[in-house]
Amino acid sequence: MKLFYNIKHSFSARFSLYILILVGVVFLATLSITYINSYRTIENAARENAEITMEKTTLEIESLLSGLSKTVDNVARILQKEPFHPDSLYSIVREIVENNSDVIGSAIAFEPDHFRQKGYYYSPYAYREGDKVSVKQLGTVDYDYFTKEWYQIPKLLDRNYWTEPYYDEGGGEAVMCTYSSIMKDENGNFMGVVTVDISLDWLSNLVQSIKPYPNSYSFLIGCGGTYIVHRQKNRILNESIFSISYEEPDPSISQRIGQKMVDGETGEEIVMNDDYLAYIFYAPIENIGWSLAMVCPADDIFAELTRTSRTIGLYSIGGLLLIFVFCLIAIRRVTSPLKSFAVSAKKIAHGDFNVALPVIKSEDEMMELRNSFDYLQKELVRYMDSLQNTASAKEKIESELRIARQIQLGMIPKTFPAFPTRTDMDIYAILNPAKEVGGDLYDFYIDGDRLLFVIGDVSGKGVPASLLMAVTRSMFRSASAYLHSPAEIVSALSAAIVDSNDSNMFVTLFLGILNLKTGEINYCNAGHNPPVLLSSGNVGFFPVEPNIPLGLFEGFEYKEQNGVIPNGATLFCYTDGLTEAESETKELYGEDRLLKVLEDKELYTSKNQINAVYEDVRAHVGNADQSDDLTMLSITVFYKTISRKIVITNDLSEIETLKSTVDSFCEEVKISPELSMQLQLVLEEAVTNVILYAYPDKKGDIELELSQCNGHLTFVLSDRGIPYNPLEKEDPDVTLAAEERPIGGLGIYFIKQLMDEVGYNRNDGKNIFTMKKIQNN
Amino acid sequence: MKNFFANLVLLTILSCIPMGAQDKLHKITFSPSWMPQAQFAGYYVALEKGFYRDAGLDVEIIIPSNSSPSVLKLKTGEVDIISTQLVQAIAAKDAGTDLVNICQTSQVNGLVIVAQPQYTSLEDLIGKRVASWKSGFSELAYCMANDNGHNVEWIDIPSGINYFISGAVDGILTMYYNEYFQVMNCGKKVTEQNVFHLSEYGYNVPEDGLYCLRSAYLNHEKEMNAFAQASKRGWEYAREHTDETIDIVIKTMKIHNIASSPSHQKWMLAKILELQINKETGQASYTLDPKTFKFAVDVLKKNNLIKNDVTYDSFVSPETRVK
Repeated sequence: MKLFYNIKHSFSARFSLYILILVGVVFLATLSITYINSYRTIENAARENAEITMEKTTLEIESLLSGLSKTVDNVARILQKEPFHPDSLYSIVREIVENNSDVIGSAIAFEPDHFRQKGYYYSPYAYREGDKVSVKQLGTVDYDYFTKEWYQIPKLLDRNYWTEPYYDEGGGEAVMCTYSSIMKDENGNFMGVVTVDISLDWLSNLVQSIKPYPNSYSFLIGCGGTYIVHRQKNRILNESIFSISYEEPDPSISQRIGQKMVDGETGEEIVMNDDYLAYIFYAPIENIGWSLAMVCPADDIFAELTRTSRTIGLYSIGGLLLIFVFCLIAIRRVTSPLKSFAVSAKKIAHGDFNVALPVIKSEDEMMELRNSFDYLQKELVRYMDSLQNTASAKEKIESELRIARQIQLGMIPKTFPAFPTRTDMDIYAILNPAKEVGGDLYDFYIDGDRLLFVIGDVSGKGVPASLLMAVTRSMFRSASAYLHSPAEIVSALSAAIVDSNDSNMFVTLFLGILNLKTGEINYCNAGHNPPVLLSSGNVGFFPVEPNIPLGLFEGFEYKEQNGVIPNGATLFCYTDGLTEAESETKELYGEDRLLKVLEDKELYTSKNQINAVYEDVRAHVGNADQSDDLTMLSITVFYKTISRKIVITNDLSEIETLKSTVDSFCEEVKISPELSMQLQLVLEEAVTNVILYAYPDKKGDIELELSQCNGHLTFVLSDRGIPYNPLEKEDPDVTLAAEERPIGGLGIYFIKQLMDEVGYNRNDGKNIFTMKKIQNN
Repeated sequence: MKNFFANLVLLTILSCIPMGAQDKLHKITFSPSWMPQAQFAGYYVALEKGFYRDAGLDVEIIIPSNSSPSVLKLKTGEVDIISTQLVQAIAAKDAGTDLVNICQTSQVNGLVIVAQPQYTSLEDLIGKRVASWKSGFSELAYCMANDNGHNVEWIDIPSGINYFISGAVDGILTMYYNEYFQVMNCGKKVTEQNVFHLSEYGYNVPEDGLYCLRSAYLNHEKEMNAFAQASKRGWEYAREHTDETIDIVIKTMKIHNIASSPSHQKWMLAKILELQINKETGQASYTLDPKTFKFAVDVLKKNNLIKNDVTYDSFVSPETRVK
């Protein structure tokens, strides 16, 4: 495992391994080629060597046998031609034996009764007996030579004949064979044979001495495949190359070779002999029909090659290991600074820029790397310094922007209900800057029965826009204080902006002065989007003169317009951040969609209208970034209202007064019994709350105003008691059983559920609790 | 030259039976028809495995020789029981040795004439030289040639197949379980076309059987039959345990200094067992079929090899007779 880890993680180990593999492959290829070539060379040499050895041995055997046969043939020929005395034959056979050291016996045997005086058998025989040569008459009743192979077979064949070897029990007690040369009389009739017996001991010695390899051996087989010479003595004359084949795993091998040998062929076979691979060379002994074979184990033939290969292999492995170790050390030495560099780099990454770099003495790539590292280090230090400065500067800016945002949002009225005690109008607005600060603005305030309001959009976004927005808003307040016509105010604003507008920014806005008693409105539009009017079930754009944005030209005459907002109608103002809000696919929200979403929103509180539009535009934008500041301002006027106002003290008995007041109010404005019931409950709950807690230990007045206009119900409950915002109370967990809930809070929760909108203000030492409900009759 | 065993006289298997036990056993001397080899495996197995002792017999196997063949040993009373071929036994009976067949192991004749590759029918051998043993066992082949009017030049040879290998003869008479194996494995290109089983030419005269003298049988009927039964048991055991049987045979051959070729002995055992199976019944009956016997007698008589008729009942023991 460690080795694998090293190879995977150490460049030097991996590279050394590559070199090792490459060199190893080259080594192996070279060795293989050498081995194959050597193998062939040795094989051929062995083959040639075997041929020579076999030829020499067979020649030796043949020459000896043919020498003897010629001697015997000569005797036979002489005896055929020349007359002789039967007794003289003893000296002839004795001479043959004496003169030929390889001969152990010789006989001249005749046909039955050939010599009348010699009887049925006549066969003078000479044989070795120790050192001397004895003679005797061979044929007897007990030794009927006429059926002996050495006599009868040449007779039947009518030619001279070498017998197959046989074990002679009578004379030599040895394996021997006999050559018989036939004699014929003048009429061509078979007369008898002249024989020599030779011991095969010399043959055995000769054949067994053929031993070119330590474990090689030779054997000799006769005409029928019988073993004549074999290292396993029990096979001699007892087994044949064919019979032993049945004891072998694959008899066909020996049978095939045996057949070829018996057929007198010369050849070579490579076989699995017993348990090892062996080369078998064979060649016939001419004229006698025997065959000589030499078995050479392949291991022996290639022993030297195997030894040499093994040595070379071992040296190669040693060499490869040396190369590996050398590469490992050399590469490690060259690349060791890399490790130090890696350590340094890690330290640098952790912020230690002044870490010492490894010392490089060589003037090579490593030095270059060191110089680069050095440079990198210095640059990093510098960069980090500047980054730190930038970051702190940015942080400062961000913090300032946060403050700016708070200031900007602080400039615009953002407490709602803005005028809790006024039941003749409902106003609500939101401003969502796209960035920290934005260029949108809205503002409104009440002067007597006039509502002055403005909505605008400074070109651009961010800080510059926000500054101009702040300026514009301030100017609106100051200019509207002394100018009474919207056009005049707008012109004044434009003039002021043009004066100080070096950065060519401009502002669009819609400014209106609304008479809350009559619904009359004077307004001036400076290049701003026309507001939407929701009135009597109709939704449409409020008619405006476009004019031009503020700050473009000096002296442009802004046209003022006037009109009437019907009782209960809503004027919905917005900036282009709404209609041009982009979806993820860059589709604009559009005026059509705005009109569509506002279609059924007439009977909504201003806050709920704006929230509904906001939800819709958020759904349109989806996950896209907010592209522009988004501002909406909704004003609904109720100048013809039915209203009732009662003042009660903080006594629970006053609840009855409340009830009757509510009843008569509901009756007057034709509120359904169901809603009446709800309102009774809500108002009773709210008033009871105030009675119980607003004035601890003292008397105090509680004022309730009920008002209705065009289905909009408004209830304003005020007292001068201790400050108390019931909306701050957390909603109770209504999923719990009644007895498990903590005491209190359920009343307010109930009010919030039944009312469309509730609000709380603390103005002029008063708690003002506002409730709004749309009357859906 | 097989006559080296002429010097072997009465080689005995030493018995390890304690003297006390031996007293109760009936002593039997037995001589197979040839030297130890798988041809007589059943007897050596019965001896080795103690089947004879189990039968209450103390058996001694006495090896025959050319000069003292088993039939002669029986005649002279040297042995009590012998194994010999049916033809030899009938001839001996005809010549006056009153022997009785107590068990017929062989059911099929094993003589096969193997011809040189160029001869593919028996007729091809008319006027040709065919080697046969001068020591006997060849009579049936002579009879067949005579009966068919085939003039064959029979060449007397002592043994072996060198006559055939050298080409001195055109054919050779062999035993299916013995020389046949050598002839088929001597490199001569001999095939089934060149072999002629006598049994397939109407001369299916069974061979080896067990015989004792009638006098001995009358005196010791129980023991003679017991020997036959124990011998059958030996043969059946050999049939079931061929490897062990070969080991026993080879061991016995070694004791008698006889060169052994395991492959040859395996062949011999297999074929001997095969020849014990009756071709008609498919079983080893160990009995002599009367019809076959009569055929053998007729053939021998026709060829003047015997002078008198030999009857089945006089030839076969009551125990072994087939009714």
